[in-house]
Amino acid sequence: MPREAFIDTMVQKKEGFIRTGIDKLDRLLEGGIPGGFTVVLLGSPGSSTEILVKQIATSGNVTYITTEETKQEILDTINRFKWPVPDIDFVDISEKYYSNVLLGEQKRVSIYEQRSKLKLKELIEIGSTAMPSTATASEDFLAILSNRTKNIPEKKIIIINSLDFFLSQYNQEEVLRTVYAIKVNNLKNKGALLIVMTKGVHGDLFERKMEGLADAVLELDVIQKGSSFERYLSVKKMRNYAKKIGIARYVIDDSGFVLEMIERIM
Amino acid sequence: MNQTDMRKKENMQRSWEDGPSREEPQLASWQESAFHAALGKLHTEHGNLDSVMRTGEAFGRGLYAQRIKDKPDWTIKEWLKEIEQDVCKPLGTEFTFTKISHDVVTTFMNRNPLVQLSQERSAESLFNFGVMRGLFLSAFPQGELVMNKIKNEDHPELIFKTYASAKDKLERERLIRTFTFLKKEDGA
Repeated sequence: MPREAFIDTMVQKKEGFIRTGIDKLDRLLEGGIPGGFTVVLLGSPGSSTEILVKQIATSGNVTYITTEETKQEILDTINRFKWPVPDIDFVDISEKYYSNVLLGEQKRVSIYEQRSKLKLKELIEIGSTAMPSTATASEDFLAILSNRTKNIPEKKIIIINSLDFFLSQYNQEEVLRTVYAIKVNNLKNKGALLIVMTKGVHGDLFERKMEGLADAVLELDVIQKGSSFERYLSVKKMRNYAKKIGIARYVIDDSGFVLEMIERIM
Repeated sequence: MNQTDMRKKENMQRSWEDGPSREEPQLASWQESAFHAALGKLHTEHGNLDSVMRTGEAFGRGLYAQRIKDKPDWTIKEWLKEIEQDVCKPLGTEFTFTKISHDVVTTFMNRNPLVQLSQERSAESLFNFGVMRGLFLSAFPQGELVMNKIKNEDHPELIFKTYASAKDKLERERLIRTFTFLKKEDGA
């Protein structure tokens, strides 16, 4: 195989592999994600990781756990790209979070908006002494994540977008234990578990632990070259499939995530 | 160089006036990377300041996991000592404590190297609040961090409470709403 080649060969459907629904990504992965694999998707802001996972979600047979955007926002993006809308099983933690915590607070804080001329100092002083109009009880989002990923049918794709939310609410060790439990369930079901995480926030040690736990690591990066930006997807790790390790340049166009060129590392 | 001179030199190197520790440049660069990720999220995810606070909290919990030896029965004084030595000083962040009791600490931040990195003052304030909240709640899950008032120019007074009331638990959301409102007022 040449070291550098345009992706122009047909991807073959392979037994035990789960297709991502993005033809060229499946070609890069030489058939898709091996069944039972836990894949960590490390992305920098601006690398359009969220577009990639939404496109994968349209492949069908997906449980999508969303923490950053509501179900409706995801569906709006899917419609904007004119992707097919399959019956995605959404676990909308974002909606729960905003309705339980933030919207309950909105009523109380809206008074500030009527007092638009107040200074920061006054605003903060008033806010601190005002009594809340509603009491809110926070949910255990990690328990929701754990429960909703149990008893999932075989060969299903589970997308967690993103782990950042749980890492802001819980200690790293608690999150790691839950991810490990989901990984074990996924292994049993021979599905594909995709975990999205922002690069550079949680520390090298945690990233290394996640990379160690994962069967595959895909990294999305955006690099400024002069006045333009180039985006790269690297397959950094693929357990038992070393020859899949490589880098592909990609762009986001009207059809979504488009891989342009593959460079094999091994 | 005698021992006193050596100690002086060492203290100068550790002083907050010198900025982030040169012995641990990776720590300051981790903070910068997390802050840039927070700003990136602010620009790509509907301009929601909540994502900035969450990134700060995740970074604070990461700092705690990787820099502080966890223990189940922290006292607030022990926690402060650890945070000051192993997190604040190496990061070049300086706090002044105005009240320390067994369950409440009142402080305000004198210096923060992130100020030089961004013009987004709301984002920077919420990110810092998130970092301190993440560090604090990692040790005191029943507690809460409250921003009381601006003590002097640009330096908010922070109150760490080991046991939070229902009202205190709404502090985080109150701040997000307040800063979102201020950001709109500024036309940012």
